[in-house]
Amino acid sequence: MATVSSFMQENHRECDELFAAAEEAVVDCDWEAAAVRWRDFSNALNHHITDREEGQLFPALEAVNGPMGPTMVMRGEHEQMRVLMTQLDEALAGKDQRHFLGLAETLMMLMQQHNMKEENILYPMMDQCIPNEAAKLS
Amino acid sequence: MRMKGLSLETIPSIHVPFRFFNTAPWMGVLAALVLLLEADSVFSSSWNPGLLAMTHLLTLGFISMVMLGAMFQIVPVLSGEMIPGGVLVATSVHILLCAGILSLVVGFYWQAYWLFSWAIPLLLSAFVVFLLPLASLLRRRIGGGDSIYSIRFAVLALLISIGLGLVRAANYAGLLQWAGLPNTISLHLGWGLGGWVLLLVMGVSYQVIPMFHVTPNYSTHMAKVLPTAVFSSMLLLTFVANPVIKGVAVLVLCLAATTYGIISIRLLRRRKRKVPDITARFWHMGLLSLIVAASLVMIIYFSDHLFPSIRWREKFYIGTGIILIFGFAVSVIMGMLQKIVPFLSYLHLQRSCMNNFDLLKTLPHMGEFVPPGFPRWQFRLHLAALLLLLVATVTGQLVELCGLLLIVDFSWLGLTLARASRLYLSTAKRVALHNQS
Repeated sequence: MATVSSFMQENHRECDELFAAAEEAVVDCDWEAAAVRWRDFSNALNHHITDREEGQLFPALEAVNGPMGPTMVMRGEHEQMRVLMTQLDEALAGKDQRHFLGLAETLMMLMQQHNMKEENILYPMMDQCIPNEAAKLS
Repeated sequence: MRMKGLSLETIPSIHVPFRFFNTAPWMGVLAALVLLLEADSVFSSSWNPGLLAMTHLLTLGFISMVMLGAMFQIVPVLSGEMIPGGVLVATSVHILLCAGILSLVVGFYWQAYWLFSWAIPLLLSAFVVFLLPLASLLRRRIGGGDSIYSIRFAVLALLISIGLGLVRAANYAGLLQWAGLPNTISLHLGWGLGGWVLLLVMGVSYQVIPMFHVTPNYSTHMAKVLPTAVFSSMLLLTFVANPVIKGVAVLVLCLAATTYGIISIRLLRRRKRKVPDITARFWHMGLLSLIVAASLVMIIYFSDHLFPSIRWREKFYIGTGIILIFGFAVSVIMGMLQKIVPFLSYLHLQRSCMNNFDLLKTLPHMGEFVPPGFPRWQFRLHLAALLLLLVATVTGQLVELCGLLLIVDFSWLGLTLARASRLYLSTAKRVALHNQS
């Protein structure tokens, strides 16, 4: 049976792949494909951080452990990612390849160091404290 | 897993990793200067004082300098716990390390071995100050998975390599006459390069290759088996005298390194990100060098008698060292630095904006800290320097040109990182002024 860790890690990889596909379209200056793929990525990321984490897992963990520093920090980092996403939306709309790729690299690194913390620390903590939440993830 | 005391925002002050990262390239420039000044004799023997000075500038001055700085950064991110001591520990380690390396290298270069009586306490203090707080964290049950598993072995290997190196240095300085452990030099080299450097690169790559290049993950099984095989082989080579067992240990060590190299290259080939990425090219260069070096080490160990002369054997030894140090370790580190430095600059600035979203939007992105042309030239320079170093080792020609190219290679890196650090400082000043107003 899937755990919170395995499900959410897999979901991180899916988001990464969507991100890579959008980035590739920008490298090729295929702006139509880039717009479609970027929307797919934005939706997937939003579903991951807004619905699954902030909407379900974080409150469930806080209900068991009380208000926690780690989830607060993760929420803050989500906000910072959202700011970069709006900058990327603007770069994409302006078809500014160089600016988009520089911002995309920054978002990628930011997401990965964020994921590193979740996968190494927060999700294993959820596997221990709120294992039943795994079944509710979709 | 312990939950008390865990914090997901524990990253050290940017001055901690940056002081190590900004020092390392200039140690590389010093190594290149030694090559240039000693061009006539440096590749004549693996005991040449100039070559020993150059080797230590690269292994301690460049490789370990960056690795220590990176450990201060990555261990808290992986484990959620700060290394005790913070900025004070990092600053002390940096100063002691720089002073220790310089006295060691000057001692080698001018054969002023009395200087080792300064170098030994300085380097010993640097590593003790680094290892004690780190060990107090690593011996606890912390997060970090396969990476921390390999990093623990790497830290132990560092300890052993430093211990053996200090024994040798004490011998040189006439402070110690101890013949208790034969082959201290081979073991010092083995624990340093095969242990500390290889195991740390392994541990870090388990995290960064899948994440930054969007590749499949390393298999958990292999991620544990490989560092265990490397560490166990080194233990056997250190404590067992039986030649058959030693032969098997060398074989296992080299096969583990080769397997790691092949697995990593295959993962990188399956990367989903198609954007041109120089760090991935540096990884390729480094991993291919590791595979070649592992084969050369096997040839040295099993076919040493086949070399036509001592001169050729020496060339072969030095060439293997160059491929392992300059081709593998230096390449991987150069590639990583050009991603990590701009990212850390952005990350720290972002935090100082305190969720002021308008201010956040004005921050330079990673491509502005290190514009794409800089790493591209770095790769060309480094590849050319590696090839020329090998030509110079074999033919004994073009050594001066090689020295000049190495100066350009390391200076280019130093200037790239300094440029990024300057942009960080000027932006940080602007953000601070904005926050005050």
